[in-house]
Amino acid sequence: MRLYSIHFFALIAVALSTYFPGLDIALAVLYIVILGMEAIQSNLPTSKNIIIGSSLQIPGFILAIINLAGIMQWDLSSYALFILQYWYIPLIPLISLISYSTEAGVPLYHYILLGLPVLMSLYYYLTMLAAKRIRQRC
Amino acid sequence: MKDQKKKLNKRDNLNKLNILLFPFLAILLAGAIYIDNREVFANPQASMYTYLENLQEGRIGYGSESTSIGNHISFEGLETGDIILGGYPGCAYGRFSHAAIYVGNGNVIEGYLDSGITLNSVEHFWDYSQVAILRVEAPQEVKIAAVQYAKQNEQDMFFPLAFKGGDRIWNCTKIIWQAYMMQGIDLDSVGDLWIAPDSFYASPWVKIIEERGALNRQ
Repeated sequence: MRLYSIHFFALIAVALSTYFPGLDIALAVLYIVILGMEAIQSNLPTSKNIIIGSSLQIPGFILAIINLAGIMQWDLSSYALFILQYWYIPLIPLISLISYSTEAGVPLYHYILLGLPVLMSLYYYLTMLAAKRIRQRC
Repeated sequence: MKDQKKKLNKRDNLNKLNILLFPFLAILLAGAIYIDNREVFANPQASMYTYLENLQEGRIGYGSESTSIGNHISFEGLETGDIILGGYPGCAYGRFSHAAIYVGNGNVIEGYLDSGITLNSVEHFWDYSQVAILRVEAPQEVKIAAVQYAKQNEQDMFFPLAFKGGDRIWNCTKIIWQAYMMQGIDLDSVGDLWIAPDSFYASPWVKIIEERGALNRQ
C-alpha cells in the first residue's frame, strides 16, 4: 500500500508538472530515487520484497498483456495501452526524451512502455539486493 | 545507543518524506496551475467543462469508431498546411475528436497513442462520421514552415493530456497548434489549458473549406 500511495501521488504530481516543461523530468527522476530509497530501506526478507516490488507493477503487467494479446473486442487492446500510459505517468517525461522510431514505424517509446512492468520490477529488486549486499559487507 | 536512536530517527524522517513529498508537490502544482489559469477555470466554454458535461451524458473518450457511418468528403483540393478534423459519434471532447495537418502528396502528420507523431495517408479521415477541412488564412510560406515544424517532431511521444507548454509530449491538436504558434498564429480560439479540435474549427484564423456530418452529435 505504501508503494501504491507513493505511485498514485507521483502520478498526479508528474501529470501536473508537465505544465512546466523541465520540471516534469526532475519529478520523474525524483520518483525513481524515492522508489529506490524504498527498496534500500526495506528490512523485509528478499522473497517478501520481491513480492512487494512486483505488486506495484501488477496493473502494468495486466495492461501490457492485454495490449500484446491484441484483444480487439471493445477495442480492449487499444484502451489497455491508453491506461498503461496513464499508469506510468511518473515515468512518461523520461520516456518522452526518446524520439526514435523502429523500422516497423512504431516509436521506441511504445515498446519501452510495454516493457516497463518488467524493467521497474527489476529496478526495485536489484536496488534492494545491492543495498542488502552493501549492508552485509559493512 | 544514541547513534542507533539517531539512525532510527533519520530513517523515520526519510520514510515520512517519501510518502509526503508527492502529495505536497501535487497540491503545490495544482495551485500554481490554477493561479496561472484563473480565466480558463472561470470560462464555461473551456474544454475541461465540455468534457465533463459530455461525460455526464455518457460520452467517453474519442467516441465509438464502430458506429461511425463514415463520410464521402473529397480531399482533392487540399493544400499544404490545411487542417483536417474528424469525429466519431459519442465523442467527449466536442464535435471532433481528432486533428491532422496536411503535408502534401496525400499525407498528413497526426498524433496517435500507439504510433506517436506520425505520417499517414489522409484517406482514413473517410472513416469519421464528422469531418471538416480547415484552411488557415496565412501566406503559403507560413504554412510550409508550420508543416516543416510538424515534420521535425515526427516520432515524438503522444500523450492525451499534453499541456500546451513544451515540445516533447504531444497530442493530435497540440502539434498543429504549436506548429502554427511558432509562426505567430494562435489557432486556439478558447485559450484553454488543452486544445480541443473544436477550438480550431471556431478559430478566426481558419476558413472552413468543406465539412460533412450533422452538427448535432449522435
